[in-house]
Amino acid sequence: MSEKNTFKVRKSWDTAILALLFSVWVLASMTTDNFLSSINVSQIFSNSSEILIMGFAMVFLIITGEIDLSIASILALSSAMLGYSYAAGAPIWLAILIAMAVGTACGFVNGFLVTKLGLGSLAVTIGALALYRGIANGILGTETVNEFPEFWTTWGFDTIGTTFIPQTLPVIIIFGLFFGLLLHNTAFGRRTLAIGQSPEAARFAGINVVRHKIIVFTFTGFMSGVAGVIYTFRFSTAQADNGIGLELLVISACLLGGVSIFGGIGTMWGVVAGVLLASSVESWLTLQEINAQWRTIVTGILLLISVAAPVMVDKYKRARATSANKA
Amino acid sequence: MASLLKKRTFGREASLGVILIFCIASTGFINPRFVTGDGTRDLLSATAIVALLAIGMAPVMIMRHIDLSIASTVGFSAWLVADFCAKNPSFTWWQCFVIGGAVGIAVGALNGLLVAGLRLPSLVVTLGTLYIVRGGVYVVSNSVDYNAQEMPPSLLSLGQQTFGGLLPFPFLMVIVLMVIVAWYMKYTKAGRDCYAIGSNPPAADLVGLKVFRRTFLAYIFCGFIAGIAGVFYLMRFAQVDSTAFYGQELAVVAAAVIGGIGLLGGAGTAVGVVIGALLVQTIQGALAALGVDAFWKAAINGLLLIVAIYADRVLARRTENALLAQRIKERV
Amino acid sequence: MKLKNNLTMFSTKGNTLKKLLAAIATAALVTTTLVTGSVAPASAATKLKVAHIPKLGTIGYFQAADKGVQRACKELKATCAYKGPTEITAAAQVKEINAAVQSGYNVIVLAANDKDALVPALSAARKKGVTVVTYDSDVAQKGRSVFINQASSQGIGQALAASANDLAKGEGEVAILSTTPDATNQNVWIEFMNQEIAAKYPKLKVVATAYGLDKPEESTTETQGLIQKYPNLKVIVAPTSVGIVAAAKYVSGSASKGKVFVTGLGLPNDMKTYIKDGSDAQASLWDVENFGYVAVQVANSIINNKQKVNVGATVKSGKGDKGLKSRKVTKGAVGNEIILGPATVFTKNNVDQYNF
Repeated sequence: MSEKNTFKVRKSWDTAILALLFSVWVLASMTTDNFLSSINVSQIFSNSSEILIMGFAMVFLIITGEIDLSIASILALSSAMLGYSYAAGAPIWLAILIAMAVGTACGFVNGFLVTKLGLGSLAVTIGALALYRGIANGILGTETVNEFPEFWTTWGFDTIGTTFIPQTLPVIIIFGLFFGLLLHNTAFGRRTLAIGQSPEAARFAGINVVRHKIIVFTFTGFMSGVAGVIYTFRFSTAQADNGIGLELLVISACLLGGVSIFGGIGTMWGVVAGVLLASSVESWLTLQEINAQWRTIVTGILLLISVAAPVMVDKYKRARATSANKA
Repeated sequence: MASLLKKRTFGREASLGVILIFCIASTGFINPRFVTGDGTRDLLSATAIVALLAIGMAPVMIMRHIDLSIASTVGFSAWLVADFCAKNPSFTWWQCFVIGGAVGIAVGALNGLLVAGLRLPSLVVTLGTLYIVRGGVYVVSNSVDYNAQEMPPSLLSLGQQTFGGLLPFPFLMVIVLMVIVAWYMKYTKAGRDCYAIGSNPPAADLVGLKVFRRTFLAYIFCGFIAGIAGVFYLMRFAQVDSTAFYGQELAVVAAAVIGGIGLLGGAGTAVGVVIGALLVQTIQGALAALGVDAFWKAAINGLLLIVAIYADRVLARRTENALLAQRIKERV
Repeated sequence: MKLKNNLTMFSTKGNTLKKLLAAIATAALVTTTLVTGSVAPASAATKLKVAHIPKLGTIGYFQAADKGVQRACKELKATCAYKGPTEITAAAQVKEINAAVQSGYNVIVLAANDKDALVPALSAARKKGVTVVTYDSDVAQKGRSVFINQASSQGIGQALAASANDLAKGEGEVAILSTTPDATNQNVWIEFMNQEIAAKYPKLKVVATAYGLDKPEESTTETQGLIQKYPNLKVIVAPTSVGIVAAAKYVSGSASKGKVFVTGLGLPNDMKTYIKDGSDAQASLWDVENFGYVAVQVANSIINNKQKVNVGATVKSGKGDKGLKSRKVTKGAVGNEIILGPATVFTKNNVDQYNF
C-alpha cells in the first residue's frame, strides 16, 4: 500500500520539477538582467545538449534497473574515432557514421557483458569506462584533431540565423520526441517499465528480458555516440579527454527528473525538465557571479531535494491522514 | 549449515587469491623488480588507501547500500587536516587522526541520517553528498593548497615506517582493520544482522532487526574510515589541494565488487575486499612495471578489470553449483 | 542585488562612452605615441573589469598567478575576479567565458585548456569588444590579442635538459613523467628537451615517457613503474607541477634516494623539502606571480594606451613589472607573443630565497 502511495507521489514529482524549473526561470530573470536574453537561453540549451542526448537513452536503462557509467567514455571514443577517421582521409559523413557505429557497438558490448555474462552493470561499466577512454587514448596518442569542415563546426556552435536557437537543437528535439514516444506510447516502452517494476513478473509475462536489456544498452551506446559527434563539433576538437566526468551529471539529471534508481518509474519530460533545471540553475549562479565552487554544492543539494521531497510529502500526507482519522 | 557458509566464503576468497597470485607471479617473472627490492612495499602502500576505504564501505554494501561520497570525504579530511597542521606547527600525528576521524564521522552521520533515517535511496543520497562535500572543500579551501613543508614531520615519517622491509605502516593498519571487521561481521550478532538486512531488507524489518541503528552506524563507520584515509593520503603524497582524491570513489567500488561484495548485498567479507583492492592495484602497477605502451595502458587496465570481474563470476558460479549439488545430496 | 544590476548597466554605458572617446583618442594618439611612454589621460581611461580564468581554479600555481593579477588590478584601480573552474576542461572554461561576457567584463585573462575548443567562444567575446590575453597555454591566433609565454619553449626544453645533465653527472638514463598525453605545452617542451639532449648531451639516453595525468595517485604509480622497469635510471624529468612533487616524494622515501634524481617544473615551496632532504631534487619555474601581473598590464596597454601588439611592437608594462618598463612582442609558435622571462632553477643553494 505504501509502495503505491510513493509511486503516486513520484509521479507528481515530475510535475513539481517542472514547476521548480519555471520558478527558477522567473526568479533568475527577476534578479539578473540577462538571464532570459537570447544568448543566455541559447547557451543553456547548448551547454546541456550532450547531457540531454545521453539522458534520453539513459532513462530507459535506469528504468530497467541497470546503469551505464561508461557513457562519457563512449562519447570520448566516438569523438576520437570521428577525428581519427577524418584525419585519415575519410569524408566527413563517413567519419560521422563511423563515430556513431562505434558508440553503438560499445553499447552492445556493455549489454552483452551485463545480460549474457551476468556481470553487474555498475561494476562492469566501471571497467568499460576505463576501457573505452583508454582506447580513445591509444588511437589518438599525443594528437588532437581540430581541423574539421567549417560547415560542421558552425553547425555545432552557431544558432539558426539570428534567433537564439542553436543549430543542434532540432536534432535534439527529434531524438527527444522519438524516445519520448517510444517510452510512453509503445509496447517497447511499456515493456521497459514492466521489467523495471519486476523483472521476474516481466519474464513470466513473456517478455524477453535479456534481449530487451541488450537493445536498451545499445540505444544508450548509440546516443552516446551521437553526443560524441555533437561534442566534437561544438568544441571543434577530437581528443581523448572529451566529456570526462559527464556520466555522473547525466545520472543526476535523470534522478533529478524523477526517475527512480530502483527502476520501473520515470518519464521523458521529467528528465528534460531535470536537465534544464540543472543547467538553468548553473547559469543563474554564474550570472550572479557565484563561484564554480558553490555551484558544486548546489548540484548536490538539488539531488538531495529530488529524493527527499517526494518522501517528505508522502510522510506529511500520511501524518495528516492519520490525524484526520483520529479526529 | 555452518560448514556450508564456511566453504562458500572460502571458495570466494580462494578464487580471488588465485587470480591475484597469478597476476603478481607472472609480472614478477617478467620483471623481478616488481616484487623484489622496494617492489612489494610499493605495491602494498599503493593499495593501502583504496583497501582501507573498501573495508570501510564493506558493511554498507553488505546491507545493500552504497557510499559514493567517500572520495570527497577523503579530500575534505586531507585538506582540513593539512590546514590545521599548517596553522598549528606543534601538531603531531595523533591530532591529525583525531581531526580526520571527526570530519569523516560528521559526513558519515549526514549520510546515515538521510539513508537510514529518511530511508532515501543511498545511491542518490551519496551522489548528492559527493557533490556537497566536494563543493565544501572547494569553498573552504578557497584554492589554497599545502605541501610537505606544512605537514608534521612525525606524520610523514610514520607514513614511511616499514616493518621488515616489506610491510609499510599504512598497510599494517589495513591488516589490523581487516581482522577486526572480519571478526566483527562474522562472530557478533550485529555483524550477522548486517548480512540479514542486506539479503532481504523488508524481512529484516519484519523480524525486528534494528535496521536503523545498524545502517546508521555502518555509515558512521564508513565515514570515519574515509576521514582516516584522508590522513593516509597526506602521509603518502605529502601534498593536498581541493581536488585531492577526486573521482576515486569508482576505484573503491570496483575493488569492493571484485572483492566479492555483491551490489545486491548480503555477501562478501573484509578479507575479500582487501584482495580485491590488491588486485586492482596490481593490474595498474604491473602495467607500469612492464612498461606497457603508455597510450594503451588505460585500455588494457579497463580490459583486465572486466576480465577479472568475469573470471571471478565464473569461479563463483562453479562454487555455487558445487554447493547446490552438495545440498541436494545431503537432502537425499 | 539591485546595486549590482546598476553597476552592470553603468559599465555597459561606459562601454559606449568608451567607443566615442576611442574615436577621438585614436586621432590624438598618432601624435602622442611619438612621445614615448606617454599615458592616456586618466579621465579618458576605460575602467578595466578583468575576469581571470585559469586552467583549474584549485591549484597553487594559478593561485600564485592570480596574486599578480590582483596586484596589477590594484595598481590600475581595476576590478578583477578569479573565475577558476573546478575541472580542467574546455567545456567548463567556455561557460566561464560566456558568463564573463554577459556580466560586462571587458578583459579576459586566460590560461587555456584547449587551443581550439575555446576559439568560437573567444571570438564571440572579442566581437563584443572584450580584450583577450592568454598566458601559460595559448589558443589559436583568432581567439586572442596576444599570448604571454612563460619562456620560449626552446628555452624551457634547454633548461630541462641542462638540469637533467647536471643531475646525471653527464651520463645515464633519463625518463620523462608528463601529465596527460595530449597536453600541448608539455609535448612541445619534451620535444625541445629531446632535441637538446640529442644535440648536446649524447651520453644521456631518454628511455621512456610516462603519463601521470596530473594526479598524485597515477603519478606515483608511474614513477614506481619507471624505476622498476629501468634499474639504471638516473633522472626523472617531470615538466608538471603535480607530477614533480609526486615523483620527488616517492624517491625521497624509497631505496632509490640518492640514485635516482628528480627535476622538472615545480613551485619552490612544493619542492623545498625534497631539494634539501638529501634526495637532491631540482626544479625550475618562471615567476608565476609576475605572469598574471604582466597579462593584466598588457591588456591595459591595449585598451587604454591603444598600443598595437603585432610582432615587433613594444608594449608598455606596469611599474611593478620586476624592473621592466616595456615588453617586446615577438613571433611565437602560434603567432604574436610576449616572453615573460627566463625560468629560475631552484637548487639547494638558492631555494630558500623564494616563497611561492
